[in-house]
Amino acid sequence: MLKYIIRKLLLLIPVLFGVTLATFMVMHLFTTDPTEIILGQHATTQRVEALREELGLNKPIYVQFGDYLSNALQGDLGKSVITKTSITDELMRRFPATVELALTAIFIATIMGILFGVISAVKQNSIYDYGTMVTALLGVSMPIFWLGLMMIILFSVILGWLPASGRIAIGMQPETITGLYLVDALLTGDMGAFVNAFEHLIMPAVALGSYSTAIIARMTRATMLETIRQDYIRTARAKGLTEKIVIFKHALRNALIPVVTVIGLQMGALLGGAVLTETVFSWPGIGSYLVEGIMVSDYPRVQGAVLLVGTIFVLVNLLVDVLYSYLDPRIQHM
Amino acid sequence: MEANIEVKKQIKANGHVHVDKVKGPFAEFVERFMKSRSAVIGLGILIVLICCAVFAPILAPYNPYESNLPIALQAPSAEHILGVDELGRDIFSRILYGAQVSLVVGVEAVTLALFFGILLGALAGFYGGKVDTAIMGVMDVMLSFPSILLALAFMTVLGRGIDKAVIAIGIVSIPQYARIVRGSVLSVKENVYVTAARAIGNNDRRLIFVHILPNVLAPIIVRSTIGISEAILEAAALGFLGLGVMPPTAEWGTMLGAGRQTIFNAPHIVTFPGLAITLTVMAFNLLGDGLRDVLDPRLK
Amino acid sequence: MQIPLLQINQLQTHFHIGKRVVKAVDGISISVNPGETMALVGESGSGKSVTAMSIMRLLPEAITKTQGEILFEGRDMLKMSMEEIRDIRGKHISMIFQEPMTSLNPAYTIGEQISEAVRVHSNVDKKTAWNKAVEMLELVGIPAAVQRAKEYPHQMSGGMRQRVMIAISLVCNPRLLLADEPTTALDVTIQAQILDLIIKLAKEFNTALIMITHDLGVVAEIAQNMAVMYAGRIVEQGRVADVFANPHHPYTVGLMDSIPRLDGGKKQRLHTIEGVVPDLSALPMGCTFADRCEYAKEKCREEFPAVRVLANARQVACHYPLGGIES
Repeated sequence: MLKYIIRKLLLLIPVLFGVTLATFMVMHLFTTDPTEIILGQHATTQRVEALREELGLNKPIYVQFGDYLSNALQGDLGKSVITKTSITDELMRRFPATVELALTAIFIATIMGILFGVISAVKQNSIYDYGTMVTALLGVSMPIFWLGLMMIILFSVILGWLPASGRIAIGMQPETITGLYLVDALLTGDMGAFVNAFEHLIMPAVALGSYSTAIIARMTRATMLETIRQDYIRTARAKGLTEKIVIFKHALRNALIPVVTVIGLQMGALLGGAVLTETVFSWPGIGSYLVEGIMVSDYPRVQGAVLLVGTIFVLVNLLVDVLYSYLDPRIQHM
Repeated sequence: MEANIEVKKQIKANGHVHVDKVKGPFAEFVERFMKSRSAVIGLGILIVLICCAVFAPILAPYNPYESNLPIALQAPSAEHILGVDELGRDIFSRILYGAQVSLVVGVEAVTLALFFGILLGALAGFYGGKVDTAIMGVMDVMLSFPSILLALAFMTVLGRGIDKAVIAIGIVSIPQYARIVRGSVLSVKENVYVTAARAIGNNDRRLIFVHILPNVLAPIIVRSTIGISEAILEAAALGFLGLGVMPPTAEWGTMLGAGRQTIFNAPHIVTFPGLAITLTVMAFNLLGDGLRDVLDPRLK
Repeated sequence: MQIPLLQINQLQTHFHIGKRVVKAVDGISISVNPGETMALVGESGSGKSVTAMSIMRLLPEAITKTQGEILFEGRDMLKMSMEEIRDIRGKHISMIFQEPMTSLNPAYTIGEQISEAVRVHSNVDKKTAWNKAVEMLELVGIPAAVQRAKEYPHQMSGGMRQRVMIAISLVCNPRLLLADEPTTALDVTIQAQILDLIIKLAKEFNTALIMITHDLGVVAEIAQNMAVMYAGRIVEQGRVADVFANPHHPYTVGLMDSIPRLDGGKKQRLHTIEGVVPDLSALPMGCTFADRCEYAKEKCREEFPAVRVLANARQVACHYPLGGIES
């Protein structure tokens, strides 16, 4: 198993290199000259040249890429051209917020998606099944930023139950241990902070997870329908097992194998969706950092954020691969 | 007629005749299509939407660009059935015009992606070796990003505007089509009739376009239909973030983005454009699901 | 007279598929005594497997309609709750299926799958159940059972998997074993091994056996009683020796003539029964076999032949039975 993971990790190197190269090329070949953004259009040639040298823009492009790559490998993604602050620091500061949001969303989506999918399959063609499938169709068709806005209108504006934006009320931040507020609040025993963080988290997480919930429910239903027709399910029943064990132990385990891949792919969709959700709920994560960066044409910032998300995406896919081979003993990992 | 063409094709491809087909493939397709509930519902909604887009100038009660500041943010009423926006423009009229934008953007982006996707996928699948490694390597890197993120990156580079949104969304969806086409070409390539076609002296380009591609049509049609719904969603997202079409053009995502500022006192501004997006995307999804059942039941 | 272990009276199993009603089993009666072997014989589509699945109540309830009685130790299984049925399944009545390649769950080791059957029916801890599983694997002739228990089904051949299925079915020492063509899907070379194993273990465990097969050669070797099924009905049944010595139903005769014989001496063409089993959703009014029967007369097409009970529990459903019947 370890061998398999190591081999997969080695295969990541060219992909990550490609990812870095791609972001670099896109940002450098086609964007407006960053000196123009910083100095404006009417700066003197002298000042522009000085700045180009400072930013390393006077070197040949492959040297610039080499510098960027070696810096990136050391964890230095450069400085924002607007705020002049370290991009790595800012990304690390915001990273836990996005992780907390994405993990909660995928957690909700997985639990709800599998549960609804299983019940739908077991009660195929019932009113329940139709209801779930229509809801799932809506789930894949709704723009998540719109769902987020609708939730704000309902739960914040009309009902006044949940806060419409932010990650926690000002002054309530728990002591930073992991950076995940829910976890930190639990570790420090700060229940007030936990409840407050949860109230802020639940709406964005549900909105972000809605698409994935629908996809997972559809997939689970389809694979469950296929699995419960298998001969080994008949064997399980013939042994005298209860229907609950037949469905959840024998059928679900096999039905989940393809679903896990879908969940993995959803992590990618989720990271993309986070950009929108974070914007809707003013969530201080990487997504909103990226969008703000685009607004002010701060390309090193965009480049850093895209590179980080791309890397996470690739790593998540590796994790899914490993999980997959654990779930399906037929896959040889030698 | 149809049956005739089919038979001729078969003669060309196989060298011998199959005359057992009584019904033409198109008639058979229509028959199966009509039996698929989701395909029919999806197509129905779509026809209504297309009518809305085409006849927007006739159907719209107001000029979608004419602002009327005194009544700004007004909730739905008898005069303005969906209310008015922050500049006092009639939301219903703007949604009708917005249908034009969304449908055109969706179709154009997918057409762009299809063109390059088919080309690259066919080249990679047909020639294999280094060509394959190079093309699919680039595709894999592109697939290493969530597509909306990649589209955002391209928008940063390209600047704002509807044409640029089409290009950005089109580019990021190329890998999906390239993959499908490559896979299908690989599996079809070894078929006897391709070998036969080559034996009678067809050149490579002719082989790809005349003999191989018609066989990968079904998965491509299904994927493109779903692809349009994704493109519309992505375009709306770009509009929402203020990176899509430039104001004052009526575009659903942009309308949502603008309405966000006044969500607390005029929630209707964000409600209806979102419903329009959902309905349109749903129509393409239904049609795509239905077509998948009709064209290729093995695809899942 | 002995009390039968299993007594089926006038069992009907009909499938309602859309507007069609498929009469897969249409009024059969059989009985099996403790420790005895009964063979259920017929072509594919004759309703043998459906009979077994009806006993186990494994058919999809939504489309299945069952009538009649299935008395197991005097209690009617068709009237039992699902809970009572689950208590019987695997513990008192077990089943071996035709498809060893797909009948085991690919996601669990075979040890887990055998010990699961132990744990569901007796209150033992994991370790005890596992040891029992290993013991069973040895019993069914799997070498290095301790190691192989930790393997997954995909690591085993079809014959090995069927041995595992036998282990699962016998691990709780059931009183009745239903074997649904257990060797059909296997290589010819190991068919005999698996069959011998089932017979041997059934004897050792004193388990009654219903062997479903289309192979009359097997029947002659292993069974005391036999029932010949055709189109959802039993056309002839009785003690194997009696039926073989003097078959009364033309269908039984046809089946026997289609067994290749080694003692024939002169070259004889193998007999085949012309035609196919009728559509079970549109059965003819008269005898279901009439269309394929070389002895059929007008009456056969008009009236369904009632079951005649003869001496020695012999039964036949034919208007014009062969071989002379003394009434």
